Amino acid sequence: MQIDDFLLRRVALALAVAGLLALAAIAELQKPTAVEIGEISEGMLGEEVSAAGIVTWRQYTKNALIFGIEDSAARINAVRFSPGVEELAVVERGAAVRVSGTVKRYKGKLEIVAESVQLLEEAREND
Amino acid sequence: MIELLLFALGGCLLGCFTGLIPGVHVNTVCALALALGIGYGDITLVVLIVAMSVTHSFVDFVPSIALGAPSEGSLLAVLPGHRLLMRGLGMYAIRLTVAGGIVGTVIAVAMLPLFLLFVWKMGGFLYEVMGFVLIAVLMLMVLGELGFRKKFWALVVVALSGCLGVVVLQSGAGAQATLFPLVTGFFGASTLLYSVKQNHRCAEQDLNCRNYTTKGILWGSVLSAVAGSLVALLPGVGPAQAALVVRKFFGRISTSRYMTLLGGINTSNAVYAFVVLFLIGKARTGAAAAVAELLELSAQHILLIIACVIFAAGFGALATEFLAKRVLRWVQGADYRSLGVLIVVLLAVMVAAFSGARGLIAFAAASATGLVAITSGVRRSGCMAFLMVPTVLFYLNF
Repeated sequence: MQIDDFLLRRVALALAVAGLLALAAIAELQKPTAVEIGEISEGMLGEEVSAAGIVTWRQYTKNALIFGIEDSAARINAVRFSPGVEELAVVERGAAVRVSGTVKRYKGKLEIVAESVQLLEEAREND
Repeated sequence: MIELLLFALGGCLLGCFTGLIPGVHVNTVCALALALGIGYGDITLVVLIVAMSVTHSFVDFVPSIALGAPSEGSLLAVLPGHRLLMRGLGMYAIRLTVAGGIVGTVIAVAMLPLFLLFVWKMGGFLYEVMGFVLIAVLMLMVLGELGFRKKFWALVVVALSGCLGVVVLQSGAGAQATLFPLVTGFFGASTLLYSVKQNHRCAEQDLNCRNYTTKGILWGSVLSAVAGSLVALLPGVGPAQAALVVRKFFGRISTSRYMTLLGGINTSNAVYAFVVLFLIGKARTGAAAAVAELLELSAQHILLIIACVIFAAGFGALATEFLAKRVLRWVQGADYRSLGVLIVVLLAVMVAAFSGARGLIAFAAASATGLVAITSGVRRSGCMAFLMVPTVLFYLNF
């Protein structure tokens, strides 16, 4: 069957829209619960959450990027194992980031084991 | 000294590997090198990473132009590059990018004092207006089409691409998982699928074509240094977006100058990104981010890095010439229709391997959007909205 451009465009448009809707639905279903840092508690252990804050400190070892974030009310530590260089660039002191991951306990303290770190706003000054 | 040379050479060879294989992002290898920390000393690792990223930026154009399999750094080259390939001028297209890379490096180093002044005077202002500049470019992409019908389809393409970019790129997964399906879909698979459908024949390649002018190369390279400075300075602005902004700002430029511009952006960015890291502590490229973890940059390190960039640019140019001839001879000898199908299947397999089922859906949607652009006769650069819209949202704090 010969496919002319008119038909191909219609099929392609339908496929593009269907794909976009599917991706949006998946993103919505898989979106972690957005919480304030202060709301993260023992009852959330094992849950996927997303919290925003300012990076207050950071440390990079060969296998992990460990950092602390705080908002106006609370602070929490986060760890990103095997971070990409994009994440290393994003997580700098003073930057506003959104951390998405699982709430875990490490050495008696709650932390977020991050799956992703998204830059919200760059640090304005280099401390 | 010998150790540094060996690591530079090793980096260049790694860059050839990452550049030739679509889907192997140089940032992934940077992160791996950082994690493994080879242990020979921080400066040797820095030299390896710099050499790799620069060589990658040259060799990257070979699969983009010869096979229609682009990466983030070379995606805009696929469009004019593929046209030239079909006319038997694939080697010419690749040589233009190489010329841009070499001359762009020299011009970028020569323009360093201007760049320092630019960072000092314009850096803050550019940050404030960049969101609006990108919005203007997006509007020009739509309004620049002739006739209502084409404007309508350009708007559809920009809207679809922008939405795909927002949904996929803001999922938070790494660059390889998110960018690769979209880049290969919009600019690779759609081109190849349409060529297969139209039964395009690839003309015999003229491997000796060197029909470029000094003026054209120089002008393209100067533009590449300007675009490279934007990439180095502004977060979220990649080589493709910078190329589009510069192209819209400077008006219509010929295909050959545009290819030179594209070839030079990544290498001039390689120089400027480290200067930016040194001056204001911001890492705008994966390589710069990796280097930032290894040492506190000094002026001496910058000089060493610039020397490494120049060395790797020379190696990259020679390697690209060598590899491109062999790849183009192979492409020429193959049945282009079967080759096109094979490459699309391979790209789909790589997308599935790196990005999973979600990546495959993104790849399919992006390919379909690219086909909408092709069949409507509108410029495929409108698909760049997938990068530009998320960047606009970032700059406008949405």
